[in-house]
Amino acid sequence: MTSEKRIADGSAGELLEIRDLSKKYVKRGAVYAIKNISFKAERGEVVGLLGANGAGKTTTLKCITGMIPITEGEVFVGGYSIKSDPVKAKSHFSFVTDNHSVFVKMTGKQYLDFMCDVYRVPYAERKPRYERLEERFRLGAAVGDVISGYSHGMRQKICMMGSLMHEPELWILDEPMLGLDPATQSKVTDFIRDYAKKGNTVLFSTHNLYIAAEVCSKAVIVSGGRISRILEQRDIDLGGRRLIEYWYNLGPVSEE
Amino acid sequence: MYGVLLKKQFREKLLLTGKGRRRDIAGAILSLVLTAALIAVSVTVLIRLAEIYVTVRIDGVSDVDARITELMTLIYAAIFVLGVAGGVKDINYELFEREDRAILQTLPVKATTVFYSKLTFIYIKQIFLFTVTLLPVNAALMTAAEPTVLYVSTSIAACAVFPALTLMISSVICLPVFAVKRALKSKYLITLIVATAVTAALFFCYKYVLDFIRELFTTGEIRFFFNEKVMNDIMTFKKYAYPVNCLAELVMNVDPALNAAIIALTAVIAGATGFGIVAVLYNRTALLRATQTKRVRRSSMRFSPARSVVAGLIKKEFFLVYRTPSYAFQYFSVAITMPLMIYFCMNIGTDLLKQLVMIDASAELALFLVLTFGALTNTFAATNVSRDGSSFYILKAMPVRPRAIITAKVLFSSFVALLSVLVSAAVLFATGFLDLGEAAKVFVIGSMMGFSQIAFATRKDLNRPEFNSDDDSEVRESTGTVSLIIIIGFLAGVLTGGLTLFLSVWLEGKGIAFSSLYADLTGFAVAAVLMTLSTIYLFRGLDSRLYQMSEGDE
Repeated sequence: MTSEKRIADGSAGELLEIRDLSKKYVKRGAVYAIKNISFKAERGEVVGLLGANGAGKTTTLKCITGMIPITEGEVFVGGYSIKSDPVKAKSHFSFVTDNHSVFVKMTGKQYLDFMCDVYRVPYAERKPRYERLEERFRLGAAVGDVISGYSHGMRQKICMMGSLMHEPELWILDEPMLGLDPATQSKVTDFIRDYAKKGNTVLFSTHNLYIAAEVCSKAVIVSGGRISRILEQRDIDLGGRRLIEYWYNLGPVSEE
Repeated sequence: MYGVLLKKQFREKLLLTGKGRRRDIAGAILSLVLTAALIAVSVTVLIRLAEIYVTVRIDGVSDVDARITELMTLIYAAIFVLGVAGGVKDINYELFEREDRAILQTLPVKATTVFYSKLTFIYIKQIFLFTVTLLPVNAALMTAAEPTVLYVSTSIAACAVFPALTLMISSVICLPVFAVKRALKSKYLITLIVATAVTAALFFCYKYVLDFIRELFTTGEIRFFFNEKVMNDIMTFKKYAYPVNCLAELVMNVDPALNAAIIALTAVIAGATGFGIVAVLYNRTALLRATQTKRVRRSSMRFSPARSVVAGLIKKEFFLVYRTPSYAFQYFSVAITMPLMIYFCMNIGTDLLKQLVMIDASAELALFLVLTFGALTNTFAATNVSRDGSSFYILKAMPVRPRAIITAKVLFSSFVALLSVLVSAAVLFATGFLDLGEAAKVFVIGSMMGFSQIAFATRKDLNRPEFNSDDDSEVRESTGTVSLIIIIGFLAGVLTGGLTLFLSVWLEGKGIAFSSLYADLTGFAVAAVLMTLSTIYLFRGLDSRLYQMSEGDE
């Protein structure tokens, strides 16, 4: 695999390309958790990775982000391979895990500082970006407290804020709505939509069809570790009806 | 239901060390060897002490049984304190920390039943503790006393009675202790200072114990320590050290019926009080935990100047250690107090060396001590990766090179290791044990060996990390890597330090010029080789290793 940038500068539209991605868990009976996953995400798109519990959504996201090794296939982010050029590929995205993994012994402020250092956010940019995010997420004075004392929702907020400090071109979230109250869910949904409108790409996993129907421009339906269907904007737009229809008829579907 | 819960406790305990977890064979062997060695040394010292102590006369009268009773009371009191401390720790763990509480509270089981099962388990643990402490003590004292059937039978019975007494005290003071701990929990600096001061004080006591033992074995002059004033204090202590004095008297067949009755009554009352208090506490603390709220502070949002990625990672390491009391203790306190320990041992060691081989090898001895104690303090690096817990994986999703992640961890560990070696060398220089050149040599070789150990330990941990899935990710159990690193580090320290010491003494004995220089060069060469090898080991295949890490599926 070449380490050269595969797509000249990503301006062609594709920010994320996944080709025949497979992951086999050795200790769990050497079974494939995901098999031959392929899809693309373009700039400005909101892509929903949909599937039931255990369908392989989290495994797919972890492979894309380099958190777990890929068994077969390739992932390119911004034209860089996650396997052969991981640092360059990773500098294009940030990832919010489903369990809100974060360094809990830091205060919220220290965590944001850390994320800025890691993603090399210029000093002058830090405060304005924080203020913009604070306007949306409203963490308030708790940003000065140690994260281990945060509630579920606060931890979710600091994870999202930390992941957005470097304004990633690709924002990846695993079950972002899990455990959030309806008002906060609505705020996050609005933010995702607005973020994509600025030309960024959002990829998130969920099993909430209504939220997916509301915000996604593309839906990748995963079932049994394989892609069952990729729905484009026109399919999702019908009030989510076709999305729900496909959902309840899961299983490998032959191409039309 | 009580039986089912008790069985659950035992199963969980066995799972921690058995099939369910990665076996830490090295750790188990190390623990067994250290326990056996500690018992053997304690028994030897006690036999010698008893031999001398029974010769002490009060008003010119010798009374062996009275002296043994006094000695027994003193030792029982110390064990009693240990038992109470262990009881407080175990009860507070069950009351406030154990994760099964949330589950058990939702089951149709009375809270009192749950806690009786937990307390019974703690009681059984304490019986084990007293068996391995009380029985060797009584066996050692038997060499000076006339052993009787009562002596043997009460010694065995005491192992069951003692825990009931200690648990009562523990159950009464566990809540105030927890309150203090909770108050200090977010006062990281105060906690650190207190822990450091307590450790230093313990080392200071340790110095006196070592001096005492040295006197005991070398000159036998220790009997003069037990002068009239000291004996009066001991006898007064024995008189009021209830209930351990009754137990000692019972073992020594002094008023057996009366003492047995007092002990039995105390045990019944103590047991009932202990169980009662803790059962009430269990319910109360369940509510307390459920209703705890956190105070929110005001905070100004001012960002720090931009740092390099490695500097950012080092800062992350710092907060993780600083805000976890057990890590802070291992990292800061032990390292800060290491120079003190080296100084105390140097004090004794130089005298012994001069007496034994009539040679002044202070520099080599200092190196030997720095390497040996350094090996113990640097084991902190054996959890350099495991400490991150599951949050280590989010680093994998960030644009950070594996080399930067590991370099930050090694630098963070090395900083305090090198500082403690530097302070040790400076203390020995300031107190006149070493000249400037010797102190510099101790610092250089000590630092190189310390770095080698840290690099080796970090990579070992990276190869087999043991992540805790808890929220705070704290490594509570000693990992297999920790045991291995203690053994390897200790052996490397002893061999390298011992080699230079041996070479210096041997070459000087042969009348060879510059014997000390040859010994030092050998030590330097060994340290340089080890440092090179461990650095290669640390970075070899690092990218691939980190890429392959897969949340337990490797």
